[in-house]
Amino acid sequence: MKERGFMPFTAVGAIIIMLVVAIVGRAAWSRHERSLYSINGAESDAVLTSVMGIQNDLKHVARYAVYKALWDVSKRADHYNDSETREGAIESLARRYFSEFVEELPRNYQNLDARVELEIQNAIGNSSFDMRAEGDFASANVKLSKKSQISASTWDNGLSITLPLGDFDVFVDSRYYLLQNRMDEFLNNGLEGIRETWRNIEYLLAWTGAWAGIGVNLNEACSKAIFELAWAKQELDTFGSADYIATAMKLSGIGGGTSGPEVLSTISNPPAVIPLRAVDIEPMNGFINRALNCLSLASSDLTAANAHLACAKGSILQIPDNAENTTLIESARTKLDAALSSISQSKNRVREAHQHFNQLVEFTAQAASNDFVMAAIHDGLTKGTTSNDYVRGNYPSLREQVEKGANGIEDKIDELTAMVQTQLNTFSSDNISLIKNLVSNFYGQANALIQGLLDEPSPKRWVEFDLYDEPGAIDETPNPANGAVPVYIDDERDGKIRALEVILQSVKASLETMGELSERTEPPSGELQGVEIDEGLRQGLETDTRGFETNREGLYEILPPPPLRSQPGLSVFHNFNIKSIRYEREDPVGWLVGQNAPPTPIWLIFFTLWYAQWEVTLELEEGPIEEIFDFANPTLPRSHELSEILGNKIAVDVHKPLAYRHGVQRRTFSFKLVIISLRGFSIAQS
Amino acid sequence: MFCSNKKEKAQHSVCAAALINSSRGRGRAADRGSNPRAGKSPCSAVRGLKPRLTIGERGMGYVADMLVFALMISFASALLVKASPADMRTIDDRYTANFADSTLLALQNATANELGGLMYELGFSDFTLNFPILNGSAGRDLGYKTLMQLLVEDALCNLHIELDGADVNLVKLSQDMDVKVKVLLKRALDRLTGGLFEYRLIARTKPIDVSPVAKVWFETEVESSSENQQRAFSKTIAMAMPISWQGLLSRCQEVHHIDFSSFNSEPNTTVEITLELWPR
Amino acid sequence: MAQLSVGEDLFATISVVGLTVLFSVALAHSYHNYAERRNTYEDLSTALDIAGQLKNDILVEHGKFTSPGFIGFAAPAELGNYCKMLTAQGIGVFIEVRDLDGNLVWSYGSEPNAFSGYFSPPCSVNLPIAIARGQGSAQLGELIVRVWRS
Repeated sequence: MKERGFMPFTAVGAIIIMLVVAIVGRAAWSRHERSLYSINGAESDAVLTSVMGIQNDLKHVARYAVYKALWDVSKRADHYNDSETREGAIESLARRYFSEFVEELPRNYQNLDARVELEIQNAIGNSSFDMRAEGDFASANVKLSKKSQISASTWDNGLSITLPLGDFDVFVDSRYYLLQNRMDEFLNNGLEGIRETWRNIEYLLAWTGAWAGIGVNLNEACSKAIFELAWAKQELDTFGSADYIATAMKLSGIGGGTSGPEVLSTISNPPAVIPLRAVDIEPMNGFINRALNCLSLASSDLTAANAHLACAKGSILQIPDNAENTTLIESARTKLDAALSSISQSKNRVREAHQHFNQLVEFTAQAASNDFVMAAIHDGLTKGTTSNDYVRGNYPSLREQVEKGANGIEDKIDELTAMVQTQLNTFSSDNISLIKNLVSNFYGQANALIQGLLDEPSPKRWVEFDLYDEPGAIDETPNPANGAVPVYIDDERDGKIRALEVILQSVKASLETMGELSERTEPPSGELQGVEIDEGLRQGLETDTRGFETNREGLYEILPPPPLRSQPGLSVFHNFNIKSIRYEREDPVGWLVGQNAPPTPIWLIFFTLWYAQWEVTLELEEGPIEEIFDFANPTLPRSHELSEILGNKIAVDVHKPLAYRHGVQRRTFSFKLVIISLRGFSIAQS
Repeated sequence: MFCSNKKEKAQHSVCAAALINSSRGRGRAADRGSNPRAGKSPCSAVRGLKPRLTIGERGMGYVADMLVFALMISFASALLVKASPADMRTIDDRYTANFADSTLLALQNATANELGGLMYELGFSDFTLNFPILNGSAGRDLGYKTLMQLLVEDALCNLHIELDGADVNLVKLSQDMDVKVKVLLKRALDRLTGGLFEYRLIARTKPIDVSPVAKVWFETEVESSSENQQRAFSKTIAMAMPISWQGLLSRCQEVHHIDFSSFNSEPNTTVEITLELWPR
Repeated sequence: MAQLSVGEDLFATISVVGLTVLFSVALAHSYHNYAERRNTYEDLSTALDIAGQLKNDILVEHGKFTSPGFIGFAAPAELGNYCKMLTAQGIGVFIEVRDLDGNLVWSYGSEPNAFSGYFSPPCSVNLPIAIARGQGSAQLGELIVRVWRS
């Protein structure tokens, strides 16, 4: 190796070290830059998070503004005409409260973090809230002014972020729309339902009194209790719960006559009401139709017999006086035999008709043991009407008339038979002139007898009675008109086929009239089935209400009563007082005589329908209130004074359920109560 | 042994050359059987220069050179090993910070019903209320509220009002809410952090000194570990309470008969929510 | 070179060569570490950037009750365009949204295969999010973003 150009290793090492130092320095610089990048990234993320946190906070603030607006409007829901107006009010109030909340926010945020600046155009008109339903809940679309923005920057102002505040939605966890819809349903349809339920329960009690012989007893205490129950029942049907505490307090406080618990007990097990139209008149009409058919056939038979007799007479009169016993006599004899046969047949028909009528009586007797309506019909068939307040004269029972009539007809037919038989015997004589004379006389008598049986009956006498207006047909003159009904059969001699037909047809007509009246005046069965009180409500009404004399409405705001049904999960408060209840008799007798007068009779010949009619009117005191609470979502943070619980004025912040309060405009409830019965009943009113 | 200047270097080279030549001469002399120069330094034979280095001295120089070279190489290698283009701690820190930010935003949006719900009872047990029928009425179900909203409302319902250091808020109906909110948040944060981080979540209002003796404040804390970690990442957001400061102060005035006539500042009624995270 | 003697020169040569080789190895190893750390850092940084952008912008359901960090229950349409843009830049991405129990809510993309995963191992980050559940409800979940270089 030459000496020149020789490089010692240390020099090489030094060069290598310098290169490595350069590499390390470059790496360190690169690491520094990357660290700066990470730090900047973290810083920008932090700034962005601050901005986004404020944006989320504005949503919460908007939600609180909506909470407050919902509370203010819902507590005075009746101050607004309709749901649109109410929504407009909520939106307007929410806008105002939002601007009040937001007024302090820029300063508050900046006090906490000087890098953050919130610019929000805070005039009320610069934001808008658009409410809408989200299922049963509510949501609001919030639009802020276009100039609103959030700015934030890093400490060294190296990075600055500006986020314009756009529209956003907030979900409100209170079921405002459910409350509004249910309250509207209660006010629009529910009050009518209360009236109907009250009417049906009153009808049930009155009907039971009329038919069970207790008498119809209308009194204020009972009616008040029934009205309270009807209101609670309607609340349960509409809201899924009722203000059972208030109703229980009222029921326990109602005294005099039938008390609340007794009414409740009656309604819990309502008797089965059997309307008159439920009576199955088809079987009864069947018996009557068969009897009428037999009588019609009997008439035909007698008419045929009369024809045979006329032929026989004609045959005999054609025989010359000097003729011997010829075949003409045989022809006449044949005719007379045929007449006898027809006459015998008609007697059987009449007897059969009598049997059908007896079967009708037997049918009603058998049914009477289980059915008091049929028992009354049976009495009507078998018992006559004696002279009384509204019937002037005795009217014999239908059974008696039919029996006498049928017997009388049979006797006359027997007499006719004997006449024909006698005439038949004279045909064996050789004296044609004698036969001719006898047959003329005979035919005259027989014809008169037959015509007597077939003629239209003429009344033996008339029975007068008071003819009152039927239920619902009351006019300004309730005085009864004079009615009269003919009596065709007083004894057996009055027996005529046509008379029997008239009597049997009147039975049919009376049954049909009874059905029509029932259809017109008695409530449908379906309505009466709905009066039963729910078991949950009944248990709620047995609540111990001691200690609830406090301000219930204030108490319910913080401790709403648990709903009777889990769905939809609403609590109910109501406040109303019954000012008066009036009962005005509208049936003629009641109108003429007085409130406690007996019922008005509608005499239908073989039975009497008794009815009484009232116009019952209930009036509430001014200012009835209905209020419902969203028990399942007590989410509104509000201040509450605990005076109703603790007695002194201490305010706490608690979560309350949204309350929807509405005044009830309708204060008058009335209905017509009509009770008809086949039995008379007493009436008492207090 | 280092040559400090060129002249010495040249002399050394000459000495080295002389050393080589003398060694060769000795070798030839040995071959011939004589050593005319034995015992004399080869460098002394060069007039005007230092004595030539012996073979041992030259070897020592080589060794020293190589040792130095080796040392330098080692040093260079050590420098290279330490060279790193990035400090992984910064990226970890960035991730932790990002995680904290995301957690706070997620808590601002997540609702309680998806975490099992939040139900609590108003604390009426302290009062002898004769309303047995209303036993089921004190329950509160706040499932639709976000977790941060629950914290804010917890602050509102459980504010501390102190007079002369004593808490005058005698009626505490929502204490159960405070407990349940903390349990819910702890459950949420335990599952979110998933064992990666320890955390501490603090919600507080700035104490409002309404008078020299009266103070209104709120503070609550949820943590996974009570140790104080120096390397914790903290992020704070602010949320407004659903009450204006005027409303808050007027309530205190009415109920607790606190005189605010001398109070003329506008206090801050927001709730600061701070999340501290540190790696486990 | 004629003046070189075999003994010390060979030793010196071997020593120097050996040291140089050691140094080269150290240099190579150092570079490998350097590259690995750099890639890891950049992958993690990219993953964090992408996760942040997804969480704050791409996956947010605009207009409803949502906000940054509050994502929808299904992958939005914009995600496809975003993933295509990343693919054009040579970045593969696989996105999963899971609830706190670990159940998959939805996912998007395809996982890297074993071959490409060997040369460019994916980097994964997960961040807490809120997932919209409708009618104002939202559940906590995590957004898992897996990123690799394709």
